[in-house]
Amino acid sequence: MDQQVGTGKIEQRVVLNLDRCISCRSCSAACFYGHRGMPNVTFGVIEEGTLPLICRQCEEPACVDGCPVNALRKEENGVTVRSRMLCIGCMSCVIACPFGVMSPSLTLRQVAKCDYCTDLISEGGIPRCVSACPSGALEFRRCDELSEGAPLLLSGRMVGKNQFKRR
Amino acid sequence: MSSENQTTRCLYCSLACPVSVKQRARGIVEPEYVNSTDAPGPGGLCYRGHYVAALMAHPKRVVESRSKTVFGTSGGAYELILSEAAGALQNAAKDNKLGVLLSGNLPIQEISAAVRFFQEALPALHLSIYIPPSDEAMFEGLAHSRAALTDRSAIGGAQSILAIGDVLGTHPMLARDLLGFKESSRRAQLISLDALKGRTMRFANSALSVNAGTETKAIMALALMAGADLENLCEDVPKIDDLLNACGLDRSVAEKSLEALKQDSNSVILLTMPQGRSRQNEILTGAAGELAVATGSKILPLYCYGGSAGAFALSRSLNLSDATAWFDAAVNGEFSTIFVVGVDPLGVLPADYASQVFEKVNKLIVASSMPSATTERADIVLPMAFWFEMDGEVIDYKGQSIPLNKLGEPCGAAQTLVGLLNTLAQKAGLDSVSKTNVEFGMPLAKMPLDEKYTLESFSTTGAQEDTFIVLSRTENLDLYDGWVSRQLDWVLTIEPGPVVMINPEDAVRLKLQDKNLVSLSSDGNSVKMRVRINDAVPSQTVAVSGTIPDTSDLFDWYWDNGIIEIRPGRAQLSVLARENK
Repeated sequence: MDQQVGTGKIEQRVVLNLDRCISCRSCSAACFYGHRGMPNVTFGVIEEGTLPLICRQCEEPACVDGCPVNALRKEENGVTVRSRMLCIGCMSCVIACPFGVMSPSLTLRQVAKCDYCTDLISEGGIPRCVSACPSGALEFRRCDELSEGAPLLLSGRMVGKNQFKRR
Repeated sequence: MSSENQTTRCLYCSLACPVSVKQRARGIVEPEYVNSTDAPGPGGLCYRGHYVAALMAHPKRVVESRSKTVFGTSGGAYELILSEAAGALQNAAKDNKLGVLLSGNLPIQEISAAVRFFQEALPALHLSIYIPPSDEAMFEGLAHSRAALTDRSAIGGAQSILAIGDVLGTHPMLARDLLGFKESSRRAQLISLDALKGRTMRFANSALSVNAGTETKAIMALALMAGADLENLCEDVPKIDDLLNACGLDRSVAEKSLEALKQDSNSVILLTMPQGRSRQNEILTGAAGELAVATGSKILPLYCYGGSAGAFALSRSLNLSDATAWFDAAVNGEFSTIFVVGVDPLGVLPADYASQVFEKVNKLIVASSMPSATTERADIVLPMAFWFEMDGEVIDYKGQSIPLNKLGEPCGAAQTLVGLLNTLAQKAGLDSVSKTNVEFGMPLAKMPLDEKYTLESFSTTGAQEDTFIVLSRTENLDLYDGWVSRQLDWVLTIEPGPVVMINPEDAVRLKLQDKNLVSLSSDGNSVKMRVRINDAVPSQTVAVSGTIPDTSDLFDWYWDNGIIEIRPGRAQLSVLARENK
């Protein structure tokens, strides 16, 4: 079955500054209510708390390849979206996702998929999770800005065992 | 599709952040993010703020009246239910057996009008305004304190901040302020004193680690070390070394932290409270106040509900009794009819105690916005608007007004508190209620100290006053858990730690000795611990330290909303090793 993989390149990404995340889950709440009860922000439970896992909008999304019913599609703006009409909740995409950001729990018998709040960003806004973040840990940054700073921003300060020395 | 934006303030914590909703056609509601100087960054909302929009159009909310004796909910039945409620209120008031519990997290004009209505038109035997017990304890303590209070803007100008409790856990919207403060200067010092070692400690420059349940002693020790005089606050003030030993606070770390606070003339103490109402919490606040005076700091009180400060001051100015006394009166059978407005006592009280509160009541009338354990038990349920569907204002801890604008009309038959009381008054042939401006002009910090605290309040007295002790009965063994377990005398006689304590008779029966390794299971989880035999422990009981990370797996609790909730669990003990190593 042909998969609908577009060629669009994402221009902005949601990035997480681990040093600022306070695990408050406000991002999840904003996502939940913004998407009518279908939360797209999952959480990774690590030693020191919970950290939000948000879709990376891969350039070559494995979830799209894994979907047997073409319910996932990469748009021209680079965002991978899911069709509520087509999704059968088989969770193939959940298994295919190499980053584990798609929640295995079904809502309304469907898999939730982050769409970067397309309704807002198409009007020049920012995703709801970023707007809601009270600590500024989530940012919506341009990809060209990230080329240098991204590794440092994303992994330079991983939460370690010695929580007090680290900071 | 038309849309309309309305903005009010969120009352789900003391920060009272602006919250705006976009109400589209057909009642679809979305929270919006307000670009305001009051809102940090782009103007986020924490998880509680998002509830506002979610609750407005919640499919489960109470939108119609319900009665156990009247069949049906609309038309003539609705009128009958209102008449039944009005009649029950009047009859109980005639017999002087009416108890009324009002929520304190409503616009102050609504509360004030309701109090006047009950006191004048329908004299209630016992009227109380309910605010969270920890808020009550904080205001009691602050009222007796000489410390200067400040607001969140002071965080930006400080070099040293002492955070008491898990500030980021309970007030996440302070994150940008605190993280910005930390990043503003290399000299910026965020000091965290949190027995639960929560989120704030993760971000602190230095941590004052104390044993669970001993924050009061730690704050007293810090205050005494800073040169504060606690004689005005408490009789027989303990020695510093005794306090330090009891709370496990390292003296050198404490001295360093005090030095940092003293050196900064703009230092701030962020104060949150452990759950529950006890004399210990009042002393904690009072001692924090003296610590602030001694170090030249200011206190930023961070309480649970935005409306608590005004409701507390109003309650005290009218000499209304606190909620604990009201619950006790209910347990003693002093009420034949109870009218609960906007509160869920069955949801917040321990199950055993809660069942006693309504045991001797003939008629329970509940005005509520959402279904709850109390509405399930109620004889009559009346739909009421949320606070964000009412106009008015709340008063903060400095006596300043925070205006509230209703975000939309309440769903179904729900009415504002004044609207509801007017409907009932009409049915009962009473004078109607109207909102008026409230003037009580009683800044919290100017209230006199009635009497000194005594050291008794450190132990069992404090625990007995606190109605939030969690006890759970099991088939073989009782499990004492929770913060307040540390206030029990027989627990305090034993060194706190991840040990399971049992009675000698039980130890013999189970063939256990001191320091035997056992696995204690509850709620499907188990923790390995050493046995500590102590005859102070009642028979058929195991006791473990609650609310510390070592034992948290044993309890069915959650902390993602910043509130600790412990539910009773079954305890099972199995022996792993009998060696005392």
